[in-house]
Amino acid sequence: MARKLSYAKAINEALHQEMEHDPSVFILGEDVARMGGDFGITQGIWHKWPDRARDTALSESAIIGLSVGSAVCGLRPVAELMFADFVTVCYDQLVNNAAKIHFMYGGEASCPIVVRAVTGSGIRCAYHHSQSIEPWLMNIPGLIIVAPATPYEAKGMLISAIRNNDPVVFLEHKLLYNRKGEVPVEPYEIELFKAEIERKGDDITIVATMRMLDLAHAAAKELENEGVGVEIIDPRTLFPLDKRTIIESVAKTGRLVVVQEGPKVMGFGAEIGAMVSEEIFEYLRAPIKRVTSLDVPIAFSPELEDYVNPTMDHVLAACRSVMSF
Amino acid sequence: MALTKKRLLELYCDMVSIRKFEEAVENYSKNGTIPGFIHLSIGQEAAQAGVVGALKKTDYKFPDHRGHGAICLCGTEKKRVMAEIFGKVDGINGGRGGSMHINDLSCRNMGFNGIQGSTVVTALGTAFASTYKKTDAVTAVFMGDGTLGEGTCHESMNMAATWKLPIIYCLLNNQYAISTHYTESHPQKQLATWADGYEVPNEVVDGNDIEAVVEAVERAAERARKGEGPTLLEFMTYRWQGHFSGDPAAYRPDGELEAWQQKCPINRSRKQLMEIHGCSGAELDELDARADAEIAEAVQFALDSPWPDPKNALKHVYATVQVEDWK
Amino acid sequence: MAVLLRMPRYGANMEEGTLASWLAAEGDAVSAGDVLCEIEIEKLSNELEAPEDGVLRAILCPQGETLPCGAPLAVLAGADEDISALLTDVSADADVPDEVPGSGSGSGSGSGSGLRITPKALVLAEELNIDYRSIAGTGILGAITREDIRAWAGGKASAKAVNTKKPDELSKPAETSGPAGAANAVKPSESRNGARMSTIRKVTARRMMESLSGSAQSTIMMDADITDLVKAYKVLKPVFAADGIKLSWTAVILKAAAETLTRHPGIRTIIEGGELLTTYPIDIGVAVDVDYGLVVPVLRKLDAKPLKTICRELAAAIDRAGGIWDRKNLPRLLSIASIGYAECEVFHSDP
Repeated sequence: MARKLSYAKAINEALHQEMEHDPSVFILGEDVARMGGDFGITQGIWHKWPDRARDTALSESAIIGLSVGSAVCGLRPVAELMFADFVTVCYDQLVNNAAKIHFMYGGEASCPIVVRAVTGSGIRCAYHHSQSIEPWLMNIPGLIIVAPATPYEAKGMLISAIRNNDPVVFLEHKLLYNRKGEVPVEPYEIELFKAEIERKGDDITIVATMRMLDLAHAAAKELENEGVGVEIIDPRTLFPLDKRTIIESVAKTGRLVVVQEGPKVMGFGAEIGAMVSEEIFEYLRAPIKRVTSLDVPIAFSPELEDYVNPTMDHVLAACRSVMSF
Repeated sequence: MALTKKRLLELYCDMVSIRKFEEAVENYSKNGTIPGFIHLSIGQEAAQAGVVGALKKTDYKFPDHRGHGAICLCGTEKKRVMAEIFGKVDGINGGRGGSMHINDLSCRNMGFNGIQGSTVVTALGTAFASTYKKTDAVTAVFMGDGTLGEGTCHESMNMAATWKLPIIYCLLNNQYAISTHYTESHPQKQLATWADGYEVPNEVVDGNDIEAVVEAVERAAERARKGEGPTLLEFMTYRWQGHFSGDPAAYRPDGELEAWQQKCPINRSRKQLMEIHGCSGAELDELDARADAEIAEAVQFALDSPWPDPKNALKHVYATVQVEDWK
Repeated sequence: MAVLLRMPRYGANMEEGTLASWLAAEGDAVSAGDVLCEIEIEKLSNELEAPEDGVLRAILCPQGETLPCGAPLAVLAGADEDISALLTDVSADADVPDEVPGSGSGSGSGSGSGLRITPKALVLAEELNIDYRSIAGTGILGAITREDIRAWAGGKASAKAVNTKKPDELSKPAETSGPAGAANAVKPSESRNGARMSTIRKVTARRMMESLSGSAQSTIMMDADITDLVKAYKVLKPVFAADGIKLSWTAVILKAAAETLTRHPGIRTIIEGGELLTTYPIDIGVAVDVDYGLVVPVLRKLDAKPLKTICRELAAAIDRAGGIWDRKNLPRLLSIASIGYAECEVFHSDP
């Protein structure tokens, strides 16, 4: 049975169900227990499992370090980074420890941690609470970066992430928290490392994640009226990437537009673009286009913030330019 | 409570074994057989052998980058540790880690790290797991005087003290963080007092006195097992070589090394064994010769072991994903 | 009244559909709204309903067949109504031209079309004068790749069997069969002074009138400085000639028109069913004067084609125009008439 749930509630439900399902799962982070999380995502867990929900000091390194160490001992911690930007103060733990455990132990130990990180811009909180951190973590083999876009994906992918034996950074876009969608009541998994073809089309492939999918869909609708068929792909797991799905789509359409929140320089759009031109240049009919935020810090004032991020018009312009190349 | 003769003899052998191990590593590093750079712990044998010797096999040990000795004593076969340092396929980690990243889960050597202060917070996790699973395992994390400059030490001690986690912070104060003397980078006269701010019990221990080390660790472990939380032990010691093999250590004042060599932990135990426990010099020489033979065998094993298959570089990156080999 | 049911066009992207199944049999009486058959486009299935009450008199498309939009599917009529005229029309109609496989942006033209070729492979095939349609693609989704073309050329060269026919000619299979018959059926007549018009002239006249009434009448004249273009033309002409390709101003104008249409979707916006519809792909007709009238073969998807390809296709289309008349292959966007030879000063034609 399914009913409508918000993205936030879907994540909360996944956490409750996994706490129920597996006694080795516990949550920790700043204000995640008693208060139920700064964004309310972990509500109700402490009340049911007071020993398995831990409020911590403002110590991101300790939070992730503790997660890593306990994971080696067979626990499954789900840590919260109140804002993904704070990954900078626990980067060592993610990069040098979490991502290396399996490698170092030659497969004898793994590091089944999930780090839930609240990402993205749009809530007028300026540059320390609005950054898109995906690329900061995307060249760390050993880490998995997941970016769900819908309540259905949020629940299923969080359950998969918790059950997965590798360290997963689970990105939650703060502007999607109130997004509602159909979510089954029972626990279910969504396969990681598998991109979703959200819409079929023959002329342009758009790759986008999280909030950027809205722009992609709006542009696709507009372009449909012009007779241009847009295929939309949500990689869902950004790293390791489901290259196959993207390659097959672009081999069919011959045109690729990547829509990405966050600076253009070295963003995941750059990686996808490079990958496609490297692997299937022969199939391309037009240059690859990236639609991204500007290469600036996110500013506070709404006028400033909104100017920095991509809009549907930018996506349309990019699509038209690849069509007319 | 003094250690028994039997126990002291065991620890003496451990220390000698570390010394011989490190000397062999130094030779093969200097002649270019061992790739990369290595950090030796000659002069610090008592602190390493004492900490590991005072703990149970089920306790979690986080040796640091200057930790060959502690690693060998956790229970991994010395020849496989040696082969790892040589980068060979029979190394305990298949050549993936080398000198600075030697781990063996089977004996709870968790020593993965080349980053100062990194394991100090990771150790929270194994300690937390002990309380979560209600086992009596304690966690000992090795750190140095230099490590204490890292912010993670603050986060770790604060959380461990608040949650009463079973951790022993083993601070081997060997005086120098590479070239910088600890008095030039820390305001405390004695680094152990740093734990006072977290209301964490702390002791300053003669790190070259194996008995003192063992007894201090046993006290701390007992507190931890009783649920009374962490302890910081500062072992005063000295590394005889430079920071890495080949560092001439020109930053040390004249005569400092010689003064510390007078306090050699091995000679000290040897003297104790002879004077208090009635061991003969020939008896101890025989033990030294056995250690020599054991290390020579370990070196031969490492030399004979083949290089790993280059394709092994792609193994064990993920538990759930096979990494692509596009070469 | 008898109705000829045709392959519908569901959405501007659709170019062909597959008749998945007939739900009514010949002779069945049906009411308006009854589902007659299922049409599959890509993986979607659509139902074709009877537009009015009647009897399904003739099924013209067997189950499983894939046909272009507009192709006849069935005749719906009264039980005893004479449908012979309609059926005759249908047989004359049968030469719905196939799409040039793989040309233009058409790798995207749906999985139904089957043939995929990469843009680079297409260029190579044209350079080598290879009919790529018979080559099995080994690329992604079965696309023909440059490797495939090279391998094929390598194998064939030694077997001395390189097909030197132009792909454009080869890619119109209809040319040799049905359409030839259709062309023969259209006999140029000596129509003068009230004598009967040939069908082709009738259609030309009707189209001209439709065009007049179906589009807003406005004429804009602008000067464009084409000095650079002339220079480029002079440079390119011998270069193309070295490859055996004739560069003409018509081809250049086709290319320019295709670019313009692509960049300005407003120009290719039409009113259909009360809604604005921006059309795509960029198909342009070229008016060709033949001895029995005016025909307008259509060059498809020009936005995606380099100038060289346009030159080749134009040449092939003009050759062909003398022999056949692609009645169904109507321009959707624009027609271009080349009348330089007529030495006139102003030529104004509303279509």
